Amino acid sequence: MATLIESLTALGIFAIGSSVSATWVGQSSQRSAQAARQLRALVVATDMEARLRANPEGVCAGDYQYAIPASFDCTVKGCLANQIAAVDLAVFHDEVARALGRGATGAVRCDGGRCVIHLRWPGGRFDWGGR
Amino acid sequence: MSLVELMVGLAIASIVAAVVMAGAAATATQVRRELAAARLAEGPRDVLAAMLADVRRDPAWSACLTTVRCPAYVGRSYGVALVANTHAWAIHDGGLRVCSKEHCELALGGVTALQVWVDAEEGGFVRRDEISHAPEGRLRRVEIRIWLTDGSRRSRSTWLGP
Repeated sequence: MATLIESLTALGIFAIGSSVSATWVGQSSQRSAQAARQLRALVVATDMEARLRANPEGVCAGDYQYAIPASFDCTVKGCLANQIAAVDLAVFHDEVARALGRGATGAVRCDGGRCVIHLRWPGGRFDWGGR
Repeated sequence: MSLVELMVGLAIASIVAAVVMAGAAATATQVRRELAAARLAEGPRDVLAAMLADVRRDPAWSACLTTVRCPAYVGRSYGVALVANTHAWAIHDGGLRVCSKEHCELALGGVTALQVWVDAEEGGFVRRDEISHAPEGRLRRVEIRIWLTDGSRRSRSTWLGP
């Protein structure tokens, strides 16, 4: 009887250790996935930042806030700032969906030439830029 | 210890060992899968970052057609090459290779094409064009696109300040 109790006690201790270890592995995996998503969000945001910096006229006119994402052929005659902004926004939304998943959304908010890029996805968020 | 206790102990130990082995195998498979996915995602991202870093460091960067004339050694590459900061980035044998002096090495496998796009000012307009030559005019932005064997595209751009 005594050995059975010892066995069960050892089993209990082992079960507690295993569950703690499993929880730790699960949390570690979850954090790793979150970090990977944050990194992907950073890549999307810095790419959009380059587009914003390259089109200051569009930023100042508020095109990145109000333009409707669209596709223009800017290879022949070139495009105006608002057309470039529309193309950039279309690329931005495609990249957000590809990098962060279907439920993800992205938005650019500009005020007086300074912009903030907001990215949201289920279980996470990322804001890039500042005032 | 009776024989019954011994048998019960052995049976419990076997069950526990089996459960632990199954859990460990599942965890190892999951970790391997995540590592492979991370490698797939990070490879193109790292390469594009390195190419754009070369462009930012070298104001005299250019693109060229490997079959026509390139200002740097490109080996037996095909298509467009990006030449910047003493490196030439080009496609050869199913991968993106980086060449320096007389030697090329694989930077990323599974790449089928390379494109260099620029935003250039032109009389109040901005032309967004793919280039295969030295860039002309006042450039605002450079975008590098790579096409992978699965048909997907990865791109990244950098702003070129005044």
